[in-house]
Amino acid sequence: MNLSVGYLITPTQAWYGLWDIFVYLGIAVGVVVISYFVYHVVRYRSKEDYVPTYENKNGSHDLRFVLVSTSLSIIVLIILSAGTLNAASVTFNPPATNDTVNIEVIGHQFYWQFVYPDGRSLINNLTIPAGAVVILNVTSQDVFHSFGISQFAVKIDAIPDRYNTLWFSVQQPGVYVDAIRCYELCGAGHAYMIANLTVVSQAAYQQWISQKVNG
Amino acid sequence: MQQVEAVYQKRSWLKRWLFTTYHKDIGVLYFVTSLYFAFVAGLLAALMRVQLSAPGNTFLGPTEFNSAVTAHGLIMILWFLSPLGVAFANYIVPMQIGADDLAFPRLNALSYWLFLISGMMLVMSFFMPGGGFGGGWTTYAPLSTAQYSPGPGPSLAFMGFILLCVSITVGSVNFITTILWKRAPGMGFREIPMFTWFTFFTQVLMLMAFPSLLAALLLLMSDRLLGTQFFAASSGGALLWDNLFWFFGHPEVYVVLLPAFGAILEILPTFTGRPLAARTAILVAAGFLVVPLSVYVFAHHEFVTGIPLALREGFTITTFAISVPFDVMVLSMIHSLTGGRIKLKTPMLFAIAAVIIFIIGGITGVFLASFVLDINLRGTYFVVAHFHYVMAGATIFGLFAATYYWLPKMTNHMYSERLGKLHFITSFISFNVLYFPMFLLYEMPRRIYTYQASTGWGTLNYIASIGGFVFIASQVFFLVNLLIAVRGKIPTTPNPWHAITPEWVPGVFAPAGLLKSMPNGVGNGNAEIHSEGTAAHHQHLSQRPLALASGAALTLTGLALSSWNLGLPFLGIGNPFFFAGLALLAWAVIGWAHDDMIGKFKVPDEERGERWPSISFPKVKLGIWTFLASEVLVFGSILSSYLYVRAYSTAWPAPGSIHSITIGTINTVVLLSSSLTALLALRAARSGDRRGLLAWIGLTFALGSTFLAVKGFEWYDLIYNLGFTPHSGLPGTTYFFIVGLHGAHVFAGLMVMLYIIRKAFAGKITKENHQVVELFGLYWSFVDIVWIFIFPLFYLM
Ligand SMILES: [Cu+2]
Ligand SMILES: [Cu+2]
Repeated sequence: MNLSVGYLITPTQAWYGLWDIFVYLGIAVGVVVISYFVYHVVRYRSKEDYVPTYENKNGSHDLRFVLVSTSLSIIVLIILSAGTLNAASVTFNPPATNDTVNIEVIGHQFYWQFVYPDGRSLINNLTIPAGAVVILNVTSQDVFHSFGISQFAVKIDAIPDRYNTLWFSVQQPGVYVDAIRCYELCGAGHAYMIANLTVVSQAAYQQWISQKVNG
Repeated sequence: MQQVEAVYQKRSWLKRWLFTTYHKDIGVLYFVTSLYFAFVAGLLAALMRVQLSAPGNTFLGPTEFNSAVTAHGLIMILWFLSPLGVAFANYIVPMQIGADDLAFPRLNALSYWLFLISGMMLVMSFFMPGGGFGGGWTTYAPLSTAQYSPGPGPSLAFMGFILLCVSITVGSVNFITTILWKRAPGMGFREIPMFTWFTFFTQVLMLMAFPSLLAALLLLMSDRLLGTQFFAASSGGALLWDNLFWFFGHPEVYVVLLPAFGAILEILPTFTGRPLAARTAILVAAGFLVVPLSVYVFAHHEFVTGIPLALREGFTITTFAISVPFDVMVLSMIHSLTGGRIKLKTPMLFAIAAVIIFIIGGITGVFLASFVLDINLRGTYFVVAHFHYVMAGATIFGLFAATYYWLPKMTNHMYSERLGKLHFITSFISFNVLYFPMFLLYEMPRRIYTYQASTGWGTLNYIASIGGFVFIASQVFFLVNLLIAVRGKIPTTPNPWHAITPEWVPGVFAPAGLLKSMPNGVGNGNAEIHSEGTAAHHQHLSQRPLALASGAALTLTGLALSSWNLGLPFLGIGNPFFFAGLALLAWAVIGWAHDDMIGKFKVPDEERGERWPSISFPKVKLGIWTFLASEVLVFGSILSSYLYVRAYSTAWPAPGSIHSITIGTINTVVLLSSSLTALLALRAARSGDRRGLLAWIGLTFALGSTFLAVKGFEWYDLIYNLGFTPHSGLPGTTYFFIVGLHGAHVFAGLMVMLYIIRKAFAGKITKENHQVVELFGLYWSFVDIVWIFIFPLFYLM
C-alpha cells in the first residue's frame, strides 16, 4: 500500500472552492442590483397623486440599459459555467492510484449498510483509511434515499436496482459523529437515517482488514 | 337594467354561487377557495415550524410531520398559488381583451368545481385510517407505491391529484381558446396587455406540463389498485417517476410565477407613470422563451441520481440559459423606475418587494443550477430557502400586489392604504426572517422532523419559526383589508390608479354591442350594477358542471377506497361511492348533452373580433385542437414510459407468442375503416344528407363497437385461458394499461356517436349546422392514430 495521496485535490476542496466563487459573486451581484433598484425607488419617489401621461422620456436609453446589463449577467454565467466544469473534472474523476478502497453502500429503511470487498459489513458506521481514495458504490434495497456527507461535500442518490458512484478522501483521522445523513425523504425514519464516519490511519485500517472474519 | 335586476332577484344566493358560469363569479370563487387552501397549508406550516423550533422536539411525530410536509407542499403549490393566479385570469383577462366571458363558460365552472373538490379529497385523505400520504409533494416512487405507502389515504390523495390535472387541462384549453379567439376588434397581438400575455404563457405551460404528471399518476394508481408494476424497483421505476414528475415539476415553478410577473408588469407602469423599459415585444419574447426552456431544464432535479455526466453538463447550461429571459424581465422591471414619478401605494410596494425577493431567489437558483455545487446543497434547507424565495415569495408578493391593485375594480371600493402598508412592512420583514436563515442551514436535510442539539441548527431554526409566526399573523391585516373593501367603507373612482389597460377603461376596444354586456360597465363605480351579471348570464346558470365534478370525484373516491389488491377491510366500502359516482356522472354528461341539443345554454358569440388562426375558424374547433394537443402529450408520456421500462427489461415475449397477430391486424383494419366511414358521415352531413349521415355514422358506431368487442374477447382469452394478467410482469402491466386507456377513448367516441345519432334523428344536424360531426371526426382520427402507434408496439415488436 502506497503512502497517502495528500497532494490530490479532493471533491471536498473542489466544492468549497466553487462555493466561494458563487458566494462572492452572488453577494456582489445581489447587493449591486438590489441597491440600484432601491436607490431608484427612493430617488424617483413622488408624493403627489398625479395623472400620468405614460410618456417615455428615456427613449433608447432603456433598451441599452437592459441589453448591456443582460450581457453582463451572461458573462457572469459563463464564468460560473467554467468554474463548474473545472470543479467537475475533479469531482467525477477519481485519481488512478492503488491506494483505493471500494466500498458498497446500501440504503435501507432506515439505516446505512457498508459492505467491504471481503464481504464484511458495517451498519451505520463507515470506516475508511485516512488519505486513501475512497470510492463508494451506492444503491438502495427499498426506496429512494440520498447518501450525503455534508462536511465533505459529497452526495449521491441511493436508488433501488441502480449503482451510483462517488469518491472522496479524508486526511484527518477521527470519528466524525453523525456525519452521514439521508437527504431524500424515505419514510418515517428519514430523520434518523444517520451514520458515523470513522477515519483511521492506514496502519490501523490494514490491521482491521487483515483480521479476516472466518465464517 | 331594471329588468336584469328583476330577473336577478329571483335567483337565490346559493343557486348563483353553485351554478354560476360567469367569469367574474368564478374568479371570485377561485380567489376565496385558494385563500381557504392557503389557510389549510399555512396551518400545516405553522405546525411544522413549532416542531422544528427546537432540537429534539416531540410536538409532532415523524408520520404526522411527513404528512404535514407533503400536504403543505402540494396544497400551497397546486391549490393555492397556481389557482390564485387563475382567479385573476378569470376575473381580469376577459375584461382586458374585451370579451364578455371565457370561450366555454360551463367548462370554466367545471374547472373550478374539479379544483375545489380535488382539494377536498386531498384534505380528507388526512383523516383516512392509516393517515394521508407522507412521501413529499414530489411523490417519489417507489415510496409512493402500495408496498411502501399502503392504505386508502394515499390513494385518495392521488385521486384528488388526478382530478386536479383534469381541472387544469380543461382550464388551459379554455383560456388558450379565449385569448386566441375572443379578443374584441382592435385587440391585435400587439395590443394584448401584459397580464393577459403572461396568463397565456402560463396556460400554454400548463397544457404542456400537466399531461406528464397525469400520465405518471395514472400509472401510479394503476400500480396501486390494479397491481401493475410500472414503478416497481425491478423495472427501473424509481427513475421513471423522476423523469415524468420533473417534466411537469419544473415548468410548474413558472406556472406559479408567471401570473405574478404579469401583474407586476401591469403595476410598474401604472405607479411610475412611464412605460416599461425595453419594448413590450422584448418582454413578451422573454416570457415566450420561458415556455420551451422551462421543459429543457427538468433534469437539473436529477443531478445526483447518477444520470450521465454529459446530461448533467447539458442541463446545467440550459438552466443557466433560462435565467437569461428572467434577467431581461427583471432588469427591465428595475429600469422601468428610471425617470418615473413613483407613487408608493400598496400594490407598488408589494410589486417592488416581489422583485427583490425574486432577485435573491434567482441568484441562489444559479447556485443550484451548477451540477457540482448542487451536490452538497441538494436535499437541504438551502433548496427550501431558494424555492420559497423564488416560487412562494415572489409569487405571493406579486399576487398580493395584484390583489390590492385590482381590488377597487372588483369591489368598487378602496382598501385601507394604511393597513395595506402595515401588511406590507410586517410581511416583507417576517418573510425574510423566516426564510433567509434557511440559506445558512445548508447542511440540514430537508423534511426531517427533528434534529439533535449537537448539530447546532437550533438557533437558526428558532429564528425562522419566529419569522414564520409573524408572517402568518400579519396576514390578518390582509384579511381585514379585504373585508374593508368588500364591505364598501371607502369610496373610490372607477379608475383610481389612472391606469390605461382596457380592464380599467372598458369601451376602448369593445364594440358597441359588447359594451352593453359588460356588466361592470363603462368604468362606473356603481356597486349595484357591479354585483349583477348581464341578462344573458343570468339565464346561464348550469347545474351540470357541479354535478359532473361531484360525480367524477365520487367515482374516483370509490376506487381509492376499494384498494382491492391490498386485502384491506375496505374492500366493498368503496363500491357504493363508485356506483353512485358513475350514476351522477352519467346524469351530468347526458344532461349536458341534452342542454346542448335543445339549445338551453347558448353563448352569444361576438360577431367579429381579433382571432387566430382566422375569423372563420370555429371556436370549438380551436378548443378541440388544443385539447387534442394535451392528449397527444398524455399518450406520448405513457408510450415513452413503455419504451423506457421495455428498454430496462432484458426479456420480452416474442411477437405472436401472446397476442395473436392475425386478430390484432383484423381489428386494426376494422378501426381504420371506421375512420373512413366517419369521413363519409361528415361528407353526408355537409351536403345535408340526413339519411347518409345516419347510415355512415351508424356504420362507424358498429365498427367501433366491433373493435371493442374483439378487444373484450382477446382480454377474456388472455386472462382466463392464458393466465396473462396485469400482474404478469411488465408485458402484462403495459399491455393492459395502454390498450385499456385507448379502449376508454374508443368508448368515449362511441358515446359521442350516440349523441350525434340522437341529434340527427331529431333533425338538428343540418347543412349549416353540422359542426359536431366534424369535431367528432377530428377526435376519432386521433383515437385511430394512437392505435397505429400502439398496435406495432404490442403485437409486432
Ligand atoms: Cu433514507
Ligand atoms: Cu431519507
